[in-house]
Amino acid sequence: MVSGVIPQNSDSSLSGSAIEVIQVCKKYGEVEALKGLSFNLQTGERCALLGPNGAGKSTTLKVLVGLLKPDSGEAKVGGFDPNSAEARRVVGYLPEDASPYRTLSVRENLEYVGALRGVSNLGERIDRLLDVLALREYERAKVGRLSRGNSQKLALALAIIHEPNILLLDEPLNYLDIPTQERVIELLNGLQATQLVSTHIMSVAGRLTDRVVIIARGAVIWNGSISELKHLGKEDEPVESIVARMMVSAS
Amino acid sequence: MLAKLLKFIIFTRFSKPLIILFTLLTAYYVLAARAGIYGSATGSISLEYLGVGFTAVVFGMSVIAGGLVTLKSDRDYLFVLPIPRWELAVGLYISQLIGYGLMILYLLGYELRSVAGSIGLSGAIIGMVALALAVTSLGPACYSLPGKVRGLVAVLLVFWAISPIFGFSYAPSAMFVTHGLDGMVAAVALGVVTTPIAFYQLTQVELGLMRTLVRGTSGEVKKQKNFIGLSPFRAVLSHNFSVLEIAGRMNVPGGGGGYRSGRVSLPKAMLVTTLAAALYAYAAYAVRPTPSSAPTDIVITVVPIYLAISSTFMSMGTLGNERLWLGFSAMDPRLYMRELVVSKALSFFALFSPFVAADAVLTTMNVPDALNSAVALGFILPTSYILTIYTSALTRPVQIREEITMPAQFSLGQMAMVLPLIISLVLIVISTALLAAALVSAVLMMGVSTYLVYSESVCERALAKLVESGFV
Repeated sequence: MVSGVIPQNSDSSLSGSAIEVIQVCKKYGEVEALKGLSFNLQTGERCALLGPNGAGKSTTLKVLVGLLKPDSGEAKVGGFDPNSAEARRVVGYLPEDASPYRTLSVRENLEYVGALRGVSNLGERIDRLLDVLALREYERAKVGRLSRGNSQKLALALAIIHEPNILLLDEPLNYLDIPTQERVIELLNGLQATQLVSTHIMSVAGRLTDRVVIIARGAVIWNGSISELKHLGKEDEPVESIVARMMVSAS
Repeated sequence: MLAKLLKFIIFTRFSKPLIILFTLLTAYYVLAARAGIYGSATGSISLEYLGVGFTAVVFGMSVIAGGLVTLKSDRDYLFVLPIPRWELAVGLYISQLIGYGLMILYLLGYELRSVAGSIGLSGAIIGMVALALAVTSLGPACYSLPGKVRGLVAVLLVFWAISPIFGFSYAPSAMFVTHGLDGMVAAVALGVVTTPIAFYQLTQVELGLMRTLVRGTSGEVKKQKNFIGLSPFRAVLSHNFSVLEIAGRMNVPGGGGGYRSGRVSLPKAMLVTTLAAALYAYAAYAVRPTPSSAPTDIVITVVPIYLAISSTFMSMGTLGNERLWLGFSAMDPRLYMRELVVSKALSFFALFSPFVAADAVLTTMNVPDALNSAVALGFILPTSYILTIYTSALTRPVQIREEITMPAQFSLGQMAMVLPLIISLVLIVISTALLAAALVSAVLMMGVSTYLVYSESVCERALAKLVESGFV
């Protein structure tokens, strides 16, 4: 553990927590992806999940969205089991390299997923998302023919179409050009949802969140606000350098 | 350099266990044919016609789903290396030959003995190799043609392949009936014509642009589906029942050059199957057995087998095109999977229902075995579709994220996908011969499918496998 690490708390009062991860372990065969991972996010909080490749970030999100079951430990979203219908109603999820349904058009994807989620005023919401994310001109385009950036914008629209209270985002700015990144940052910052953003990039974490959970080898190595993180370094030391040092010492 | 390149190309596309199996199978068929220990198909009308039918299937597939066996990493790394184009062309062609060779071996290897009985083992090997070359070459030779032209070429080739049934002997598939020599000559002629064209295409095509070159269809969905106002269940049904997604070359041993998918509305597809069923009914009635002829109606025996084979390709995209983070996260994943699979199976039943209706009509006209066939088509085909989906999910599922390039290496594990096809083929063959067997098979398959669809533990295992296999 790196100095400054906040001890993991598996029994603290988590009332008001939007996301709770308590001593979660998950193995893929013999490989331990998560080793007693614990952290929590309060309602409305925005937190970045930082870590090197293979740290367990995507696995954590998959556990929280109910696609993977922990081998041990407990995960809750909005106070619910991730596999419950209640959790599915309040959670929006954007995986890394998200790919919408390839044989449907952009609008069909939005309508289909909106219908599966039982979204009311679906037409209006779709129109708003198409405009906000500048996808209107591709409305009828097959997803298989979209550029990677437009596909990512559609994926984001699909993740938030039901106006979730809790958003789990895995590298949300991937493939986006700079103007679109700014548009998406503005959109995400305008949402009221609790957000857990998995990323490798500290600047993305800084733009989208104000708290950081750093994980390495399936366990939390640091947990705190970005300003606390900056104070761990020397004067004028880039925050990336501080994070890199932590990750190296953890591995 | 060429040897190194060839080794690299082959082992990046085919797993070692699959190559070993391929080699063993080839050796087995040749040695068995040479020793005469493999049961001769001569005299078995069904097997002769199967050879003709399989040739038609591989011709059609090669042209429609054809192209090159390429990986995404080829486009990103291999094609930009300073390798002479002819070496690259040879490497890609041989890789393609193995891909198709696997399929031909799998589908037609058993015919070697009967062909050898007609024109000798050397002649049979020459004929089969020529056929493999021709089928391999058709893909690269035709892939740059516009979609409609490719479709026309495919239809012409399919008719040519089935022409020996009507007595025309100058077709490669004639090897499998009574015109061994003529068939071999036709196969060699086709190979001689198509192979140079394929090589020419492989040396000329702008490989980096291949993805766009092969896209002949529109990028827009002309007739948009409307899901607004639908309940989750009706949305799943609407998406999966009324639209057929046809995928090419996934989880099968060989065939085609790269994954392609397309969607066809069910009514349009049913129009085609209705016409085909009418032709089927006419042919089945025309060749119905007389007291002096064979005891079974050959059309009724063979057609369901081809329908079963074609059904495999339609089941391939079902999971490959699914998105865990969307459908499976929006609803209870077990419920979503159940609704997805049942909708697809119903869609499948609807697609082939004209054949069931044709069988019903034939039954009223006292055509033997038509009722058996109706049971086989109505129950065994849709349920084998379900079996295929779950076999794929539980063994080696591959998600489709990009078209044209191969989604994954061909491996022995993917051969598990063939098991449901073999099971359904066996059941169909038995069923068309015996009504009691048809009824028992139908009940058995319905029972297995119902268990798979409703078993929570199976569904959970399938979902875990999909996630572990990198599905998003």
